[in-house]
Amino acid sequence: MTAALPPEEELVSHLPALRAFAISLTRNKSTADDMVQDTIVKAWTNIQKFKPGTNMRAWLFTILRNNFYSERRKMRREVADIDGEITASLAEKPAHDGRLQLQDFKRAFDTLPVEQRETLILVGASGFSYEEAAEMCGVAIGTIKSRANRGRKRLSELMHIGEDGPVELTDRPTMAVVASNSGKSF
Amino acid sequence: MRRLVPNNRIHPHCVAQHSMSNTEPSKKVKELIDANLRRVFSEAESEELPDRFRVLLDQLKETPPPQDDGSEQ
Repeated sequence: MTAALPPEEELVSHLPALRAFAISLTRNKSTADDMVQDTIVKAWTNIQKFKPGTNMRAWLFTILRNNFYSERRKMRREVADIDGEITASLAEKPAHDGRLQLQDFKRAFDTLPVEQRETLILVGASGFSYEEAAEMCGVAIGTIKSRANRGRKRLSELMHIGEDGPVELTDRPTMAVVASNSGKSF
Repeated sequence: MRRLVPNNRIHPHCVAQHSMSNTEPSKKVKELIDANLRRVFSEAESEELPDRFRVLLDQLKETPPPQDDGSEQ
């Protein structure tokens, strides 16, 4: 499928996902675009280091996240302020009607610690295995599992999704996705 | 002197911490969360890419490929 593409062309095909990953990490599209741009340059100039046949998306995501954490360390104070603003804005929001709205979900997601957001996007949304995510993040598989559990648990608390009561779903696409997955074992 | 908690008893604080860190959300909750994560991700993924990426890629295509320390091309 994509294996036949030259690496430079395959790189372009991963840009939408790379940008989505960057947005989930930075929570800011302008910053995300800067990070993607840096990642494109780094990947392009190091394309000879990419091993054909391996997972280019994982390679690109790894370059981007390493760049993100490096920048974050440099601007730790500013990032802390941004975190505070987002948390406060969520707290001001009136209680929703119990239905799972996507915008509410996004706001809740944005309040999670960056490590949990990263893990949930990798294993929950992008389909990477726990092993792949652990390798990409440079941590143990148990750490990834723990981050995913804590992130999902926190989201369920913020969205008031109960373990006991019935879960209300907003729309058909969500119900369809959940229904299609309900037969799978984890 | 401070009394130690007997070996066969677990301190309530430890129980709380233990259960908090090891409790997995139910399968139903996990699926609902993941379905919404995928929606958030695919929504961002479907956005149009900024033009500056295209400009950058055009520039990169024009530049000669990097040499790799005398190794084969």
